[in-house]
Amino acid sequence: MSLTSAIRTAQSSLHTTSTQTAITSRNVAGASDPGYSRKIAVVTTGPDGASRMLSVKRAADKSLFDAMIGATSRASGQQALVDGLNALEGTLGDPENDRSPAALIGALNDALQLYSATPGDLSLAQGAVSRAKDLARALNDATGAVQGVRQQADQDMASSVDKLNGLLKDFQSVNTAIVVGTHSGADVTDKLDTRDKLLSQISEIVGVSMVTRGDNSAVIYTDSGVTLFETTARAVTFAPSTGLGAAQTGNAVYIDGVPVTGSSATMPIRSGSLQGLASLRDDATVAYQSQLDEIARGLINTFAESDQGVPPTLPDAPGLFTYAGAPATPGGSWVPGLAGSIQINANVDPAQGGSLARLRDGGISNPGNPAYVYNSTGAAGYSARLSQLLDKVGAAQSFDPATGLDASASLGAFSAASVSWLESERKDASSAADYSSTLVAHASDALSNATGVNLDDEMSQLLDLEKSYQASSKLLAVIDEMLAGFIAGIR
Amino acid sequence: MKTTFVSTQGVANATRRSVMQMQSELATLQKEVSSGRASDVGLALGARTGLTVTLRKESASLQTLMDSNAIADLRLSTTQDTLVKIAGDAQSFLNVLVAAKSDPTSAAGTKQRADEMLASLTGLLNTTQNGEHLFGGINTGVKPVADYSDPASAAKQAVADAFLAHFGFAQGDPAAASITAADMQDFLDTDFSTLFDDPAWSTTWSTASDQPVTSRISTAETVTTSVTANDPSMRKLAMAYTMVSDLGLSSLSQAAYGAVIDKASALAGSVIAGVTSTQAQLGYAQQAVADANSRMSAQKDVLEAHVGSLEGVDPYEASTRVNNLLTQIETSYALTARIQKISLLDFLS
Repeated sequence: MSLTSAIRTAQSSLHTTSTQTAITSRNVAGASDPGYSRKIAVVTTGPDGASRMLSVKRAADKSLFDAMIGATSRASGQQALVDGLNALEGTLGDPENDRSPAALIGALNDALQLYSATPGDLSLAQGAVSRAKDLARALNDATGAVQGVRQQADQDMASSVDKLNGLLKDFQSVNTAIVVGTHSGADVTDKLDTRDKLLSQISEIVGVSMVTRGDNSAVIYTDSGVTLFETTARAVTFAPSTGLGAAQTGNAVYIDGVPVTGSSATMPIRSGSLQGLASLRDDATVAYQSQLDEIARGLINTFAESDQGVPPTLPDAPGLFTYAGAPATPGGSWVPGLAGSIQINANVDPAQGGSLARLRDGGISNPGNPAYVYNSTGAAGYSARLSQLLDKVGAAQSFDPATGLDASASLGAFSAASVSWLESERKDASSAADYSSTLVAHASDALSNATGVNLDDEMSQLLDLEKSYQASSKLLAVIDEMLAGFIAGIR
Repeated sequence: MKTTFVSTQGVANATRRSVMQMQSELATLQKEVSSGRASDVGLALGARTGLTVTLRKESASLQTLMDSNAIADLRLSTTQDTLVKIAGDAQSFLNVLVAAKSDPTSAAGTKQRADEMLASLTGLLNTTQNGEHLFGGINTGVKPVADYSDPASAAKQAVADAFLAHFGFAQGDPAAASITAADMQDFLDTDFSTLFDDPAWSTTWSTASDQPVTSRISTAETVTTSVTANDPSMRKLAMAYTMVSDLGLSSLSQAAYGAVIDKASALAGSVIAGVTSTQAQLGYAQQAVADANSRMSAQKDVLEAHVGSLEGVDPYEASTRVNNLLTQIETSYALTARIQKISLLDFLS
């Protein structure tokens, strides 16, 4: 050992310390970036006793990261569903406001009851017709809202797919850079951070898992096992529907040519906003629409008029409530979109040139045909038809089992069951979303604690580095002095 | 070596998130305290929301039934009052007849009373309430009985025609004095009586419907809530009044006069009994309405209480939770401020 080697060691120590200080300052700068992971300088001591910084590592925790992106996928899928269901709940409102189809059926029933007590009073008939109008309009509006939610979900799926393709493209370029950098031994830690950040953004759209290989290259699979990325990004395709009608099924999303949403999906994805939106578009809204349509069909059939001839020869015809398919009645099974076209018959609406008294007397379906008139004498106190209508509203009728509700119920009970169905779906989805957003918060806290930066820690490390730098500088000065003394002795 | 590591961001997030959570909970609780109901009823009840909607609907239906029962009840009591007057008239007419029987000279006075009574009966049968003719049956829009004193009256013409056809001369004709008691009896029992039976009654006397008004007084009960002018008692009474009023009483022989008075007395007597039994039937209907109302009112109270218990929140619990939350939020603010304040940087010179 010699003074020269001591100088070299002190020099390399100075060099290492300044590089470590640079890393500390990088860490301080990244402290507030949630995607930044703590960088650690790997320092080794060489055979000559000099310390060298070999490489930069980053703090990473694969299992916590996987937990975080898994939770993110589930939370964003459930959130998409909750948002859609909340929009559907707008068709019901608070029970206190009595705006749901169920409450409006009750209001119509009450108006008919009041009218039947004084059948000669046309202002009460006006009341009943107005309630019927409210009900038809509420069903039309609800259909509009449901189809709006569906259409929006379809568009959101399209924009999610666009975003996903963009993210995958970015992912590809970062991944290539990482592979190149790893081969050449460059510092790729910041790129790895970027890649993780991209993956967590991808996980919001579709549930994924990532596998890394020896050269730091990544492969992404969806949670259903479809390859989303391997060396190159796989194509994600989706054809949005314009004007998605109630009777129309939306298109599926394809990843790498494999359908991953909808009933035709062979490998259906289980989380992410795409899954939430697809389930909203293909299940929840379709089921709710079918319930509204069945309420509308029940109304048209309940208020339909029958041939009063003995024996009756003509078929039943839509009375107070009618629809695009009149004069035929809508039959015994689900007619998709019926709730959107139900309206009150112009023949009973004075605003459209009809006569209110037809509500009491019959003949709404076809004023020109006396066969459908119940009150043949035109007596003002005739309440038998109104009484019959009240009985029919309260009687059980059959509904299409495709709605998922009781197939035999009264109109009131069926519409109330529909309210229960929607609110229970919303409650379930909402508590699941709350739970998974709490999970996301915990997982990202845990990840941040494992891989994030603590400013105080960095500061105390900086103190250490300062001391070490001072000591090395002092060493250099002392050796310099000794060498100077030695050279002076020689002279 | 890191035993426990916490990132600066983790510390900051933890305090921020807890404050946010508590604030959103506070907003919900404030709404619940002020309204006494769950802030989002659908979310709170889930599958039971349909129940509260149904209960509200049923409660509204019961209220409507009670409102419409008030109309039926009013119709019933007005009809009762009218029937009391009709029976009273019949009774006093009977008294007049008893007096007139022994005194044929009072024929003109008796006819006068019968005219008045007939006009009164017509008025009573044409009673309207809320634009409805109470005695019209379901034909509430049309006046059930026309004025008999009107020279154009179809009923009056029919009586005149029948008299002429039977006896060959008009009422009040001097020849009427030759009508025997048996002839008169025969006329009253056949041709005259036919005028008060269908189809003659419905074409000349009454436009009322045979079908009385029925009212649905609860979800399952329907009762008859009117009496029509076609009721047998009304026909008999009209018949009694008409025979005394319009058969030319003063021109009849004493025997024929006696036959008319006897027949009219018998009819008036049976009317009093008939009206009483009709009144009793209406009384049952009134009782049914009252029973239904008290039952529905009790039911409505139960439903409303149930709605309250489903949708409501305990205001004491909610306000206690608000207080707790406020304390927690304040503590959290204080903690956040102190945590943000401490930094190693402050101690490095």
